[in-house]
Order: sequence, then structure tokens, then C-alpha cells
Amino acid sequence: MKKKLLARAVLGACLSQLAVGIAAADDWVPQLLPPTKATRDPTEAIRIHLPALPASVLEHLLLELDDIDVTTLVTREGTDAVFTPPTPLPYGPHQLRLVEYAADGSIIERGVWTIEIRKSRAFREGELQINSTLTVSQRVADNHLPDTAPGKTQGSGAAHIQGVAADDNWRVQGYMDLLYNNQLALMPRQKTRVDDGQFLVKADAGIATAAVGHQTVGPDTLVMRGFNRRGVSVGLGHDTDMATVQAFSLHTQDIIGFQDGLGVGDSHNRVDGVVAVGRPIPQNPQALLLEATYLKGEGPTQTGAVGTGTVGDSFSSGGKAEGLVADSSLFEQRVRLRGEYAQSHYDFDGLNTGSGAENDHAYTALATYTPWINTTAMGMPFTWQFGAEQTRIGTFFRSPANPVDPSDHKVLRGFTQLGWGGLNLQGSYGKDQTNVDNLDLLDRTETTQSVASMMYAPTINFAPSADPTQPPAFPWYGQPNFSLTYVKLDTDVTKEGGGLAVGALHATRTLSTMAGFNYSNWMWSITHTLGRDDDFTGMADDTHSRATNLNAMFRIGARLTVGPGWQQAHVEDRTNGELSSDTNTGMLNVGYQFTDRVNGNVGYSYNRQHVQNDSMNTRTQDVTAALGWMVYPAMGTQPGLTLSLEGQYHDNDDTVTTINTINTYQVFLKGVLSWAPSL
Amino acid sequence: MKYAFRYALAVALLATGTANAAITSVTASPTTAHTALTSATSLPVGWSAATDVGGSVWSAQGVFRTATGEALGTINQPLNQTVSGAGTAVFSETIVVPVEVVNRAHQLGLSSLRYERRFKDSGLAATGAVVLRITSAPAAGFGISRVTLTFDDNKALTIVNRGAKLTARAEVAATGAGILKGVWEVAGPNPETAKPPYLILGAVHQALTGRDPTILTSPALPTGAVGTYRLRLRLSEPASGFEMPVVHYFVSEKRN
Repeated sequence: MKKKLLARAVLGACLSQLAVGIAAADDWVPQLLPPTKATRDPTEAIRIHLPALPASVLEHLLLELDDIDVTTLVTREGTDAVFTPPTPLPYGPHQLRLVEYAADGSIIERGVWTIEIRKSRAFREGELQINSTLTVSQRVADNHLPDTAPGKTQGSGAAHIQGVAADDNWRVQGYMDLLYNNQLALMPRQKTRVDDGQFLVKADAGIATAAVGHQTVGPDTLVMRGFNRRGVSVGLGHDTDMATVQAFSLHTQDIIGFQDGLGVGDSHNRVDGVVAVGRPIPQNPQALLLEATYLKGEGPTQTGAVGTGTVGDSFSSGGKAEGLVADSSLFEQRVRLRGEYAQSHYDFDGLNTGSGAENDHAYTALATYTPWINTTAMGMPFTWQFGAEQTRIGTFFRSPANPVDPSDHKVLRGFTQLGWGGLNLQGSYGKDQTNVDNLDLLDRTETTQSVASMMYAPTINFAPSADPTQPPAFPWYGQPNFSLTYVKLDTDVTKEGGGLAVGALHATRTLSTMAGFNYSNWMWSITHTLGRDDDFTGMADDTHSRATNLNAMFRIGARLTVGPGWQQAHVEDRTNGELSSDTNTGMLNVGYQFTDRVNGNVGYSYNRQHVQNDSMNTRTQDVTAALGWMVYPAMGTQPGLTLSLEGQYHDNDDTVTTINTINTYQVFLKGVLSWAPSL
Repeated sequence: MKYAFRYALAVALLATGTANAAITSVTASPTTAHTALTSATSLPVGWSAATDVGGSVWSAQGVFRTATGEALGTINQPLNQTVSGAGTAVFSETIVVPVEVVNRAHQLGLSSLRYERRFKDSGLAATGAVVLRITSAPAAGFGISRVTLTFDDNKALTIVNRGAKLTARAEVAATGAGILKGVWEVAGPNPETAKPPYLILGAVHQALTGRDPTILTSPALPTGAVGTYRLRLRLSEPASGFEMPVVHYFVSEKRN
């Protein structure tokens, strides 16, 4: 209410200038003036013509845009009140409302208008953006390059294209990444010199939806998790609707490039399915969400997919899976209950060959309770949550659309989290069992995991700066933040099998600490991790490890940045006579902005890897340097040109595998043509 | 006629070799290992093949078999070494035990299977074997099952503006427990194609427990110069029996 009164006062101050000594009239009508062009664009000022009104009336006017008070943004131009959007308004219809607070306390609605922000008469929205770069580099000097080195002139480029078009109740949007390199070996698939990365085109018309390209269908579940794949989906309904249904057909392997079309042509490398989501309590959609998924598919293991490496073979395996999820947030979201059940029918050793398919099931159950929401303790925000979850994934449970979750484990875990001001404490304790199908020939392991962590970022009371034009100064210790995490894992064999006797199997301890300090122009941080890994079967080595990272970044003046870093890791093999290995990595990056268009950077990197018995002994140094001059910046439809001189020096000494010892450098003169139109 | 003569000559040479040369023993190291029922398992295996005449000692492929000799799968990776005179040829390989092979053995009611290699010189051959006991994933040998490399926008190929912040993440699935050791490396913006000099960005030391996949996040990737970059996570331990993934990113000029 105070804000509204203040806003009205401000509007009054602005609009009272419109008062030109005219007598008050009770039936005056404001007039919304038409846009200056054929359509109203997102940044255009909105003008309302008012009759001559006394200051006593103007002082009590209030302007709302989509129910938000924008009175303070109104200015006077002649006899018009002009509202200039501080940020571009979204495309589509908006409601503008002018009201008067009368002296008797009543509210008089003087005008209500619906305005539409449009790109053009044809489309409400319509935009095409291209961000493209083409480089030509000439190697002007080199040393000790292999005979197979490419030619002195090389070309590469990339383009990101995105666009949107919409009108009435339909909307189409999409993007595509394109990559070019004149050397096939530098292309992801090494088959064409121009290839595409991911692409996606989505269309909505009323309740109907369709998508073609790389997409994730539905939220993560036991039957579909981390499954972003190329394919096609069609559906009815949106996230805010009571019910939605989506049918999909996606490529089993992740693919990029101009291959396999839309990803649905190969029935031996495809997952087909349907996801239905319902919110049966419309007045409180979060009270209950139901989701059902059914899918079937087959495909090779992920060998060969870009970005993946996996063991396995090349023949096809597959099956089907279905799952049901119920998710409920109750009591003003203090309580959350989630349950999921899924079953699968999967043929591991190839379809229609070898053994038949295996049936198995999986479930998860989660309950959390948050006793206090939006509460403070001693003047600081306070939250506390605790909960428990149980997950069971059968030994032979596998879905063609879940490459992430491991099978064969049953977990019971309790956890809690407490937040108070800048302090956050978390803890969990759980047990994880294998051989959940109780197979006679298989052992069973039980892993107990305890995790405790603390994060602390104290609130700083800034001292006022001596110079009032400058922001408040940091204290000498800056804005600190700290974290401490301890993880304890103990694995025991609880049922003999596979040659393993009952008893302790493995133990892991990890302690990680971090401290970081931020200032207005520089920051530094240090992390230190201690690890201990013990094997009780004699089949693996016991190790102790420690690692330290030190990083900093300095901004000196407006032009110079300096970023040093150091990493040291030490691993001690306690089984083999305390054999130790060390890795040291140091780097220094310096950047300087000579002018708005000329910049330079130099980087130095040092790495040393050494095993105590000299089975590994390498030292690597790299120096990179670049000097760039943006001759013409890309602006609008005008292409830009940048010239640069770049150098790389690489020095590797390997005293064990001496064939790896190499010392090379290359110097390139490069021209970069960039074009970034927005149409 | 010419072919008949060559065939006769070959038979004569083979017969001579058979009479005078042989692989006298093949020893595997380790002799016993644990492989997971539910995950593919990478295992390092060493072979020592003793020959009494020397020359070329080779094995065409490795075969997974039941104890009774039924073949369950193969690894078509030949091993070859030349030994001067009588002596021992030493080989090492990292094999991958596919989950379907182990699954088939389990469905046959077996608690173990064998990985065999037959080594040959110019004479008689001999076979060695590793016994693979089937266990649950945490109790299996320490090895990498799967690595997926993506950038922080969840793409395996991405385009960023010069000077933008960019990191990558590796999702690593493993069997057994131990310390993963490796380095994040990047080559670019004008990488060589044959043997690009990779710049080491930082080391990775991570305890793996053979349970849920572990997410490793890379240090900040260089984006200071326009061009194509290649990124990889090179592991030194444990050895992986497959080629580690390499992903590409392109740094484009900033738009005004």
C-alpha cells in the first residue's frame, strides 16, 4: 500500500505538469494513441492522451501494465502521458489500465486497453539470428612438426542459427549448430568437412505440440534418464494443463552430424514410447502428479557415439520398460512424497539369439519433511529439512532409455539439511546392497556410506567507501566462503560367491576442504583433499592421496587480467612399498586489452608427472600467445573482420617412453570473418 | 601348377617348423580376476609365452569360454611380438568383458568363465587362460565401464563466443573400487591432426566405488582464441579397454 501511495505521488508529480488550470470533470476519458508504425514493437513508448485535468486529479492516477504498477516510469510529453518500457516487452497481448483514486476512497477505472506487441503484420513474433565465424589461418613458422602435419593454410568455421515465428495460438522455434573444418581429422565424425551438431525444431499449435531433433522427453525416471537424443515427438497439452500425453521415437545412440536423418529410420537403433502426465487435482496441481511411461527399443551399446566411450560389442540388444510415478507436495509444500515403480523385459545377449529376455523390476520411494518455511532464527533465514528414500533396482532391470542408473542395488538412506543465514549443514547415512534378486551363484556386498558437509559464507558488513562515488569497500579478508566435506564408505561381502568370502572388502575415506575469498577486483581460493583407499582382498592396492589446488584472478586496472593457478597431487601406493606418484600442474594466463579493438593474451602451462620408481617421468611445458585486432566489428548485417597473430609452443620430455619426447612450435597468421545478423 | 608348388612348399616348411619349434608354455597374469554380472568390466591382463626357437610369436584373438570349452564371445585384437632365439614374449592388454558374455555364462548356471589366448610361433601352439569369477559390480576388478563426455550445455559438440566461460563434464561408470587418475587435456585452436600437442589443464584423482556413475567436472576451458578445439580426459589408472572419447568445441568471434 505504501508503494502504491508513493507511486501515485510520483505520477502526480509527473502528471501534475499536465494540469493547465482546467476545471475538474467527472466523466473525462483518456485515449490510447496508436503506435507510430503499423505494429507496436517491444521498445516503443506507449502514449495516452489525457484531457486537461487539474493537478488534484493527476496526483491520484495510477497506470498498470499486466497488473504491475508502472506509474513511476511515466513521463510527460505535451499533453500526453508517455510510458517507456525499461526493457523490451514480450511479444503478445498486454493489458494497460489507468485508474483514479477518488477523494472518497473509491477507485475509478478510467481506461482499460489491450495492446499487442508484434514483429509484423504477418507474425506476432518472427526472428532469425545467425552467429557465424569463418577463419583462415596461415602457418608462417613451425618447428619439428610431424610429416603428416596438414598444409600451411587451414580453414575452419562454425555457425549457430536460431529462429522463432509465432502468431495467434501457434509458435515454431528452433536452432542448429554447424561446424566446418577443411581437415577431416578435426571434424567429430571425420567424414565430411561440414557437419551439424545438435538441432531442434519445436512447434506448438493450441494444445498440440511437436518436436524434431535433439530432445529430452518428460522428466527423469527409472525408465528414462539422461536420454537426450535425436528423434521426433508429438503431444497434446502443456506443462500447466491437467493432462498431457507425448509419443516419441528417438535414436538409441546419441548422434550428431548429417547422418540418420531425423534419427528414426533405423528400427534396430530406436526407442519408441509414450509418456502421459496427469494432475488430477486442478485447484492444487502440486498435490498430486501422476506420470506413466511405456517404451520399447533396441540398439547397440554406446560404442561409436560421439562423446562416449564404453566397453561392449557391436550387436543389438533391447527390450521394453514401463513405469508409473506418483509425486505429491502437501501441507504448503512442507511434505513431499514420491513413489515410482518400473519393470523391464530386456534381452541382454542379443535379440532372437542366445538366451531369452530377463524380467525384473525397480522402485523408489522418497519422503521429505520441512517443518519450517520462510522462518527466521535470531534475525537470519532458517530452513531445516529431513527425509528418507529407498531405491531398489533389480539385478536384471534395464531400460533401453536409461544409460545412467546402474542395476542391481538396493539403497536405504536418511538425510537432513539445515540452513541458517550463510551456514548450510548437510548429512546423510545409507546402506547399499547388491544381488537384490538373491541369486545363488552371486555374492552380495553391502556398502555403508556416511556423508557430512558444511558450507559457510558469512554476511559481510561493508564499510562505507571514503569516496562516495565508489561502492563500499570489502574488509581485508574480502567476501569469504568455506566448505568442508567428509565421505566415509565401507563395503563388506555379506554373502559369499564368485570366490569371495564374507568379510570386509573395501574402505574409502575422503576429506575435502575449500576456502575462497572474493574482492571487487581480485579473488583467490584454495582446496585441499585427503583420500584413503583400502582393499581387504589383496586384489587391489591400498592408496593414500592428497591434492591441493590454488587459484587466483586479478583484474589490474581496466585492461589487465592475471590468472595464476597451481595444482599438486600426490598418491602413495601403500601396497607396493609406499610407491608414490606426483602430478604438479601450474599455469599462468595474462590478458591485456590494449584498445577496444586490440587485445592480447599469453598463457603458460607446466605439468610434471613422476612415479617414484621412474615407471613414469614426464615434464610438459606449453606457451600460447595471441594478439588480435578487430578491424571491423560485426554489427547488424555488416560482417566483421579480425586479424590475429597466434603462437603455440609445446615441449614434452618423457624419459620412459622416449618416443613421446617432442618439442614443437607453430605460428599462425589468422583472419576471422564473423557475421551475426539478426533479422 | 605354380600354386600347387607353393602349397607343397608351405606344407613342407610348416612340417619342419612343427617338428622343431613350439610355444612351450603360456602364463596369464593374473590367473584369476573378478568380472561383474551387471556391468561391462575392463581388466588388465598380461601374457608370457615361452618359445624354444624364437621368431614371431602371435595370438590372433582372445576367446571367452566356459570351463567345458563352449565359446561365449571373442576379442578380435591380435597380439604379435618377435623374439630373438629361445625366450619369452611378454604381452599386455586391457580386455573388456561384455555384460552379455557374463550374462550368458550366468544363465548356463556358471559362477565363472575363462578368457583364453592361443599363442603360436612357427611350430606348435599353446593356450593360456584367465579365470573370470562372476561377482557383483563393487566386488569386480577395478575398471572403467563407460565414459560420456559432454560440455556444460549437455552437448558433445558446442559453439561458444570468444571469452565465454565453458567447462565439460565426464560421467564415468566403473566396476570395483580404487583411485581414478587422469588429466584433462585440450588441443587447439589450430591443433595438429596426426599427433596434436595436448595442453594439460589439470589432474584428476577421484575415488570410485563401483556404484553410481561419478561426475567429473573439467577446469575452465580455454576460449581466448577463435578456432576448433579438441578435449579429452586421458586416464592413466585404471586402464580402459576402449578408446576414450574426444569432443570438439568451436570458439567463435564475439558479436557486438
